[in-house]
Amino acid sequence: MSTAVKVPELKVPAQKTQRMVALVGPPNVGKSTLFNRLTGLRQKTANYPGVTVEYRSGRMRKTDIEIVDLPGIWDLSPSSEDERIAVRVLSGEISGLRKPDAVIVVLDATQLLRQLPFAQQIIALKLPTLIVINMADLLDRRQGHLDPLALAERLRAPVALVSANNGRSLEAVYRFVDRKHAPTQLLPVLRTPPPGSDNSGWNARGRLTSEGVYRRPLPAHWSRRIDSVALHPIFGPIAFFVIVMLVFQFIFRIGSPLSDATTRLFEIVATWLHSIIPAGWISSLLVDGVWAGVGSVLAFLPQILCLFLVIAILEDSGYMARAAVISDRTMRRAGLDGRSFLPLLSAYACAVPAIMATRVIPNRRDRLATILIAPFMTCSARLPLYTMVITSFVVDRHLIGDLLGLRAAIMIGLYVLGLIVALITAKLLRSSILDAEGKLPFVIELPEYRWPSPKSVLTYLFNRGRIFVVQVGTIIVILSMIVWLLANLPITHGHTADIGHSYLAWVGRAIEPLLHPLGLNPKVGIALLSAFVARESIVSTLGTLYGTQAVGHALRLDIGFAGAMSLLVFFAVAMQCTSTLATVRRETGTWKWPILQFVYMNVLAYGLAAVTFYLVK
Amino acid sequence: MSAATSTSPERDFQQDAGPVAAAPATSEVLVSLEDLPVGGRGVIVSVKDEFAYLFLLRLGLVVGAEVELVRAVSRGRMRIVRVDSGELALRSDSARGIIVRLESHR
Repeated sequence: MSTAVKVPELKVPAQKTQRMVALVGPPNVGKSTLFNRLTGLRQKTANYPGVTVEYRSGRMRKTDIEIVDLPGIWDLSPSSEDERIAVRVLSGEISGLRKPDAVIVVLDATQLLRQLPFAQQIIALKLPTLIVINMADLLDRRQGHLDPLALAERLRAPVALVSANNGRSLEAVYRFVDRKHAPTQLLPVLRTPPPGSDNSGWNARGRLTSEGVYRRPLPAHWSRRIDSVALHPIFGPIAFFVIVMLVFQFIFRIGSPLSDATTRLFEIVATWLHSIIPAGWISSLLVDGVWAGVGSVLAFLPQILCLFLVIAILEDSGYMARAAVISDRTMRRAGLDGRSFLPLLSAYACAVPAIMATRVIPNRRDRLATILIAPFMTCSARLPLYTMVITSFVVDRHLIGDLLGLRAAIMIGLYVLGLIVALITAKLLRSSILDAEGKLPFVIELPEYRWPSPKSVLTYLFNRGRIFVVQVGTIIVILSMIVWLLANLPITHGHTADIGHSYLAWVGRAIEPLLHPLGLNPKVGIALLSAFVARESIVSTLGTLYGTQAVGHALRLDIGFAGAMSLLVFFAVAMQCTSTLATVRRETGTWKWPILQFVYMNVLAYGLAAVTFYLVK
Repeated sequence: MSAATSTSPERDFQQDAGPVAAAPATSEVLVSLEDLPVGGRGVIVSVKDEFAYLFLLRLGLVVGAEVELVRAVSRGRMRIVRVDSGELALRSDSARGIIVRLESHR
């Protein structure tokens, strides 16, 4: 089968040495796989200025040609942020990003008739355009057929039938990108036809089949067979539950121990560094500030990579769309859709990877709502305080035989509290500042099941890991340093202050009037402030402040039962994680959302803790 | 299943859909996509809401498109629909606004 048509040549001005080619296409057509094939690991990821939309760019192998991968879009009517950005990129209106010299439109060979109008919209933009019809292997397997030459004649643009997954016929794409292009001959503009207008352009697609240019593939029978289980009324939710459990097990059994091991490794090296660097504020700054900050970044990495490995496999295999369908009913009650489920679930391990995982949510407002509520989920860093307070203050007794004791019930209650507050917040957000854009129907495309490509999965992991370490990590280290400075300054006689006499302690004493309604004192206040670097460190900080390892006993004498319950509620609801704030900043592209989240969560936590103290007292 | 036999189907966002328009009006049985039985096939004749129409258009749920209800999931709250050679999942309330002409009645 022929795979490409001749591309006319054009002399390009000599000063135009570096060219830019934009990659566009609907979601789930294998655009990212093609991008990875073209660029390998020579990629960088960035956000467009002031928006949450992300783009990837990379240098094509053995050339100076830059390929920019635009977000997946359905058409050029600018009804979503992704589409607005795509239109602006294609028309050269994004500052710092030049207008593309050529465009590659990627379509799915098995969905061609539905997607051709999109290609026609791009062709009408008058840029040199190559239409890449991807997934040729699936088309063959399902006994479909496409004559790319005949299609190219009708579209008046070069067409390449390829399979990005196995690299078939990609030389046609390399040839197109790596040569000088003439503007393609143009078709009449085929815009989205408004209701009531003639839509003959859409119906003209039917001629492709009647004239033998395209034969639709047979239905994906084996995908349907898998769906008869995956979407079965009883077995579907069971399969979903099992997969979710496996995801959790993988993160907790593999990711968490690796994170713990990373932390321990950094602690061992820190001890060694302390032993070789003369004691003083410089050693404290380098070891307890910088080194510990870097350690806190890298400690997240195993969990992040584990979660993203699972997400990449679920996405690539096609199951993610089915999981969204199964969980939609539950998420809908909170004004979200099914695609929010997995990120929120993973927030129980850690909010940082969960917030990064919200990229699977295509709707911007759904994604923002999910980002804003994810930190309410009880992450593992809250558990040390929960365990310490509950075991110190609550005498265990059976509530439901041996099945449920009082301590377990309170622990579950804290999990439920986080969940309820999250769902109520989501509902509030979706009915106020993040209300639905019009009455957009909830529709998910169910891609055919396929084996995930190891190369594509590994590239995805590499990119996610790099984004976290470089972009999120930088902010985490800076914020950690600020808190370290507050906890260790002023320096007297060449030594840092202990935390009880630091600026942080001064802040703790200054906010003492605010702590009274919660039944807390400056020591607990200081510990809460220091927990901004790492939540789990609150117990050891309390130990330092009280000068004892028996923190629970000291707290019992100091703040009593009502104060302890108020502390638990505050800790369950408050935003106390600089890493999360840094990630939200990275993912939303602005400080507006993390600041709003910080204020909202902490005000809410304060109010709920005050009410708890008042009621329990 | 609620079905309507109509000589004058709703015109809100109905399109001139070529072969659809040529079908004899008296034999048309129109149902919403929500009411299409599992395994049932039809041709979209109108989409009630303009905003939804423009959105669904992108996914191929256009007037004149052939659709088949593959299965209903989540106790009928979600519909899996085949359009061309792909499958889409949409909520029942979204499916309600899409009117199809049953193919068996053509």
